[in-house]
Amino acid sequence: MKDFFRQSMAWLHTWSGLVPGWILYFVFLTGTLAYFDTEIDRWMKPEMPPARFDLPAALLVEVAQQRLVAQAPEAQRWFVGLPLDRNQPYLRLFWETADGERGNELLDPATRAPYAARETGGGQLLYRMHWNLHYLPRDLAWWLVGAATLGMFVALITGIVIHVKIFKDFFTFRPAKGQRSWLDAHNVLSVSALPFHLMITFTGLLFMASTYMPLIVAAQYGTSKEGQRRFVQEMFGATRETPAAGVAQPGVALAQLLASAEARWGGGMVDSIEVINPGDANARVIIHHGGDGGVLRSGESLTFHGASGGLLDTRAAVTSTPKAVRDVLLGLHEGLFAGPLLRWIYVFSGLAGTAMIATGLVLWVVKRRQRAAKSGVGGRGLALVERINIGTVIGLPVAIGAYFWANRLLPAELPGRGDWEVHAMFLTWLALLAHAALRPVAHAWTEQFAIATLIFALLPLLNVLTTDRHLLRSLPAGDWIFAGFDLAMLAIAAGFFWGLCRLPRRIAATPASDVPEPLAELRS
Amino acid sequence: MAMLLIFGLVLTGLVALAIAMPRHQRQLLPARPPLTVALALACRIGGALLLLFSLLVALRALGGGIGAVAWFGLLTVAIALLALLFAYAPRKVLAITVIALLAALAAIWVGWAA
Amino acid sequence: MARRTARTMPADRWRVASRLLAALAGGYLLANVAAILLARLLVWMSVSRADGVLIAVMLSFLVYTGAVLWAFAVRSATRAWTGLLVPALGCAVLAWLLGEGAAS
Repeated sequence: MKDFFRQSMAWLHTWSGLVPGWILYFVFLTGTLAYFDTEIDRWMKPEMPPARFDLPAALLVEVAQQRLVAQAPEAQRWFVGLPLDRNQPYLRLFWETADGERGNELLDPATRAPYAARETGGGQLLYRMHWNLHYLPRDLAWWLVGAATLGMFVALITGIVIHVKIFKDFFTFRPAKGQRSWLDAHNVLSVSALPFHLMITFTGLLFMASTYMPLIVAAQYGTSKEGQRRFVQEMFGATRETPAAGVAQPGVALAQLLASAEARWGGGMVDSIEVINPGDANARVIIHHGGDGGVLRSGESLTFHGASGGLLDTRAAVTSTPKAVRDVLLGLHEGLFAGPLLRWIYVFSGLAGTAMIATGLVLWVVKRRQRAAKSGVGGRGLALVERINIGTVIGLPVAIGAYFWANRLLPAELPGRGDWEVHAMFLTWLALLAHAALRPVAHAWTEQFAIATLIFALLPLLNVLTTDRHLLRSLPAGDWIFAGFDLAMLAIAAGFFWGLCRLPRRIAATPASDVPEPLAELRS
Repeated sequence: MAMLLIFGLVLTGLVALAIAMPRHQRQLLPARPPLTVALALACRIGGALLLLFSLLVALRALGGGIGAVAWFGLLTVAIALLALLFAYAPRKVLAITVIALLAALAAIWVGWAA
Repeated sequence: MARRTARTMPADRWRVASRLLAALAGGYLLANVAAILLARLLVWMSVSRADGVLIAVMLSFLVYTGAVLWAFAVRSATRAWTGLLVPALGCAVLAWLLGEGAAS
């Protein structure tokens, strides 16, 4: 019967959403911030000069090669990332040795040395936490995030199934009506950005597909490492696996190979260069095209022999339709192609998703409290969820604010200051969870909204006191990374202030009389 | 510029769909009696056509991939905007829609042909 | 209208746990064997090995999600299990019959 189906889907929706809810909130919030990862990076390193995209690639490549030869002559792999746009604002070097040692630098082409900037995880760390979490072993984190993502996908599909009045309620939001309002908000946030939510969740699973579904690969390639490697090679090309000959041979100048690539593609199209086995007789140089600016993540690449400079292989951007489909899907998730306006729309959608999760968590508590008030059965579960909700929905953003505060306050010479910034973030989160556990619920909400308002409103002021790239300078100078960040902090503070004024009453004290039978809206 | 045009069309299309919904028709046109079935259907078809047209504009002006992404994104923003307006300032909806549509037409005249 | 509480649906804790296990474990099993079968079918139809695996992996998540919904939508926990395990067995047998297929 239809009724059983709807009820069971509603049940599944509630639990597949609630159980992973806080992890999903964390993933969505850090993921949304990740759309501005390099902007956050730059705000957190005010010593860096503004990014410039007008330097000739040949110069940058020559500077990079000189530095890599000096710093990592024995490396197994070099990587040079060229600044083309906001996705890679500075010349980036990376290397990896045979024993797994890695190095990472942002190189100043003027001084031919790394920029002198404070050590920080920056926005990149927030981005990576989005799927790696923090403090947890990598595999455990991936498993948790994957399970949560599957829960999210189930919650989305069941949500669509049970939302009976999806078209009638398309634009419906009725504020100040207790549980009804929370449900309306949850619905509008879900439905308006539904294409985004479905895409981001499904593609999230896709990123780690071979981790979550290893058996499917194994059934075709065997369970050995060799088999897995063959799969990767068939998908991405075999060049990275080229074994070193063990014979030293000077490589051709990368700038020369760059010139070949630019002759073929035109100037300004190379976005990165990889060198496999540098300085070896079997060296390979892979030059990557930056793509045509569209959604497809991959571009053409050229493989040269590192010692002789001969062109060995050309790999098209599209090698097969299924791979192209995968690349487009992953490209949609990452949004690297997005210009400023589209990027803000991505952030808007991400925030809608974050708020969808938050309103869902609050809605569960509000409904349960209704039921508890009527039936007299309270539940420690209710109290637990309620407290963690406060400490996470408000506490996590505050913790990220604390991350930014720590970035400005921790001294530059502090060893491991990058790690300490993150510790500050998680310690703050812990403190707010504790606060939420100890204070009466209504007070907890109010106080945390107030803390959130302050921590973000005062951040631009802190910026004035600790750097010279603050609003009073950045606005007239047109320094939009810094001005934009500070203004965004003020806007966030305003948002929390609005929350402070309007919400604590509505969350903590739901009038017993106003709300209809919990499932009535699901039945109509 | 293209984004402005697409947004204006999307918003207008959504408002047309909203007018065909009794709850919102009462908010937007309080003086009028409920729309006849034929008129409501016309609004729905008109709204749907506007949305379809805006999608075609997006695909044409921005290319296939980016155009589709931009269209979905602008749709999201427009729906959220309308939900807020209907909740807090329903009488401003029509005025804002007209402004958005004018801005969209201005966008054509200013930039698109270039 | 009957008042609904969390306790009337699904009726009792063990049955919920059973459905949950069916959904998560049985669903994972079905998703994998169905995908393995699909990959082998595609290779048999001359799709390259890597492509076959890619398509199968992408679709496996949809199968998994569908299986989770199935496990809770059907009338009984037993039906949840049989509805997942029987097709899984069928897919496994077919996949085994097809064999690994030609190398790419």
